[in-house]
Amino acid sequence: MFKRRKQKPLENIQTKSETPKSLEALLETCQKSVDFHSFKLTEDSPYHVYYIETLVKPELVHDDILLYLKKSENTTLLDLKKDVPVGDTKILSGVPEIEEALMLGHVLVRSEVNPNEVLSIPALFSETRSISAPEVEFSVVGPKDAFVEPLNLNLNLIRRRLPISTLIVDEIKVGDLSHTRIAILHIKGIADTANVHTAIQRIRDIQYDQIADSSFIAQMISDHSSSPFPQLIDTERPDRVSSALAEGKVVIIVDGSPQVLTGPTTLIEFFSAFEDYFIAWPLASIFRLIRLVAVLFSTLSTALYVSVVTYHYEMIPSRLLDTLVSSRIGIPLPPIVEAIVLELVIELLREAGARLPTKIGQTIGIVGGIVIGTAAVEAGLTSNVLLIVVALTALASFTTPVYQMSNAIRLIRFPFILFAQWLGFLGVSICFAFLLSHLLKLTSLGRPYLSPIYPLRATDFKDAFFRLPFNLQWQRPISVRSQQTTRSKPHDKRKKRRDIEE
Amino acid sequence: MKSKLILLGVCLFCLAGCTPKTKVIEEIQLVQALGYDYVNDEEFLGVAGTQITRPGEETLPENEIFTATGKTSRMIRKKIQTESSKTLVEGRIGLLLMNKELAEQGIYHFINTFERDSMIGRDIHLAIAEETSLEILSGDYNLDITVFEYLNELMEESNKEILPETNLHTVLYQYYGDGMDLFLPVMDKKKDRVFVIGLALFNDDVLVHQLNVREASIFKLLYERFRGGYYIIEVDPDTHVSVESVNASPTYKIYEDHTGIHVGIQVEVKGLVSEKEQIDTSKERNIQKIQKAGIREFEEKMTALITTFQELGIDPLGIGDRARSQIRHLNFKEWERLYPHIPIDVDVTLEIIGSGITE
Repeated sequence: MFKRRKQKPLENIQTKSETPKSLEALLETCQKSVDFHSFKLTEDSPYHVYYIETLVKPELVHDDILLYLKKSENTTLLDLKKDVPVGDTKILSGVPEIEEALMLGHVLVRSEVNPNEVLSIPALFSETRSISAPEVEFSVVGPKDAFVEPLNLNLNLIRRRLPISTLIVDEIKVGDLSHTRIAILHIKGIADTANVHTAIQRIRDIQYDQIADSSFIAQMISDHSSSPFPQLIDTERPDRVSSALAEGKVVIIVDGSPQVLTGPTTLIEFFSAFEDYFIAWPLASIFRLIRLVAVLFSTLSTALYVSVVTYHYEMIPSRLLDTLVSSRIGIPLPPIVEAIVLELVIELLREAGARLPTKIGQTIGIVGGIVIGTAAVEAGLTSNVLLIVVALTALASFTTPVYQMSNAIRLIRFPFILFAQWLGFLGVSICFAFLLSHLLKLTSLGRPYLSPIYPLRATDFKDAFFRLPFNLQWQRPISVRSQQTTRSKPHDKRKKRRDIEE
Repeated sequence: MKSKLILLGVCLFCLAGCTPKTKVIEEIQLVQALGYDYVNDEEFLGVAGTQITRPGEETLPENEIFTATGKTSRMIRKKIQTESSKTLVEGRIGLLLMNKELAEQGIYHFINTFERDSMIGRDIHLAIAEETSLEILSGDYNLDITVFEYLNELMEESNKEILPETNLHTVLYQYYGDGMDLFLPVMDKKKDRVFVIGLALFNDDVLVHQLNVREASIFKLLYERFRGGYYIIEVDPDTHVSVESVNASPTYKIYEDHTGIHVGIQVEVKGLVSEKEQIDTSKERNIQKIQKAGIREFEEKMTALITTFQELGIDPLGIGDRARSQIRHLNFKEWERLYPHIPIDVDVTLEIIGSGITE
């Protein structure tokens, strides 16, 4: 019923923008833009110079290119190429290549002698923001650099952390209009080639005109695009990415996006913050367990409230009964309506807060949380017990380190609440069964999503629900199917105990 | 694909009304305790104790009693329902009271109704009201907890310290099991307090004998292993020592030889002397004196209790059941005939393991 339909061939649909047939036509098209410059080098020179002003660096063009071109006595492009003190100059003759070079900020020089060839000199100007601290995945300890938009800079951040020649970068251009550069990284000899091929193949198959962000790619190449659960981790931390590479995962970087995708991944990995590796393992394990409990709490607690109050009055501890009854007495709404209204109010606050500038967002939080909450209870519209439950639910959903996952958790509460109203605890368990079967079906780059649990990979538990110390982490996760399963030599367990006298 | 969607649609349409009846917590009247009182040979009075909660959490819920007379408990329930604007539900009953007069007629009828009700938990308390259950349930006890919480906690406390553990499960087990008889605590209201005044012993489902609290606590020593409780030992006619029992456990040894069946009950009591009068517990001799007096007293009382049970032909200690587990192919009919005459030896060991902080 939910199988993917076969994609229809798109050949007869005109998706690409029209490419000019000849160089003259190309230049004519470009002339229509005001920022396109074309001029003769000097009155009697045979050279014409073309470039797009908004794409090139003015100092570079004037000081390093035009100056030398004017000085030059040579008449052929090949000789001219030697005179320009810029590397990576090329002589191009194909129209598509020339167009691409022009659009990537190259300065084109054409000689009247041979009008079909141009000399392209790179002079790209790109302004970037400076590398700043991670904002979404902030950590108190650990590295403070985060990815920025340009692909090269991001690659630099990763290459600096993994200075090895086996770190392979493949590049694919996607998007008929945007020509977005997408880099696929893996470490040769560690990463499973099947994973790399899957990623490359899926990215090649993308048919879309414009790629604005890596999340486009994440949605387009994920195994089950209709699932609310993200199947690739997106992160802004170079340290997390390089450790994913070291585990044998595949990394996808999209030019223009500060979020980098890593895969294949498992459900549990979404609840591990990278900060877990910076603090002592017992603490990290407990924090990770707290996070997992918080997620369970966040999905189930409102549904449990609804089912207990609607059906299972026997289950309430007697000391709590009076509190619960007295908070519900006089409320005109049935528990389900009450719960859904309050959940929606919280979602409303979240959306409103997220769309507003930070300073106003805080005010909205206070207005929403305190004023509306208190007023609703005092007006007798909602019970204060539910208000506490819902607020805790929202709070607990924020503990997830990966933003995409916290969105999923935000959503899957609602079916639980509806099932709770329908059949009580039975309904909650039915809904949970649906959720579990959905999770069981999910895959990430073809690898099982629930991995250390099902299929059971007992050794992978060392870094799943809890994080064991580094000396026990000498194996790469099995679920990634790394070619080289050990990352370091295991400790000799018979090592002698070092005594103080020695 | 299409047919499945249609099927789903048809299911949704046809089953739209198939949801369980909701019992929203404030729209139901929760019966917290139930009492039955004797009216005449045909009818009895049913008392449903519920509470009415007011909005706001500062005030305690108010006690509300519904009563009706009838011939069956279901009929009484219907009658009570006509009084209440909210649906009465039994799921939260924590205490079932039956009045003594009623218990003397037999309580099976009431236990049976409870046993069948799937909404009722097996860990609820049952008790016998010395006077009427109406009096106990409708009382105003001036406490910081509700009446039903008070009564439940009282039962739990007495189950822990004085009386053997009873709840619906044990009662049903004792009623249906062979070689044992059921017992229930007895409650009575005096002024504005409720007291646990003893243990009612049943033959089948009829109340035949009542132990007072002191006897009941001796009975507890014989019946089950427990920690806690207080016992007073008379060392001399004018010297009394109170022993806090730290740990007590009975062991039953039942065997059959050519002379017949013999029952031996060993009770090991380890206790602390917590209150003493003019007796120097730092001397080993005095400790031994206390132990000796204690053993004598415990054994005397226990033997007296067992003799009473044998005379009445009841077996609240479950000796028959224990015998069945220790003697192969025990003829139960034979056992019931023999039971009043079987020699039962009680052997108590008392060890004083401390006398508090001294010097």
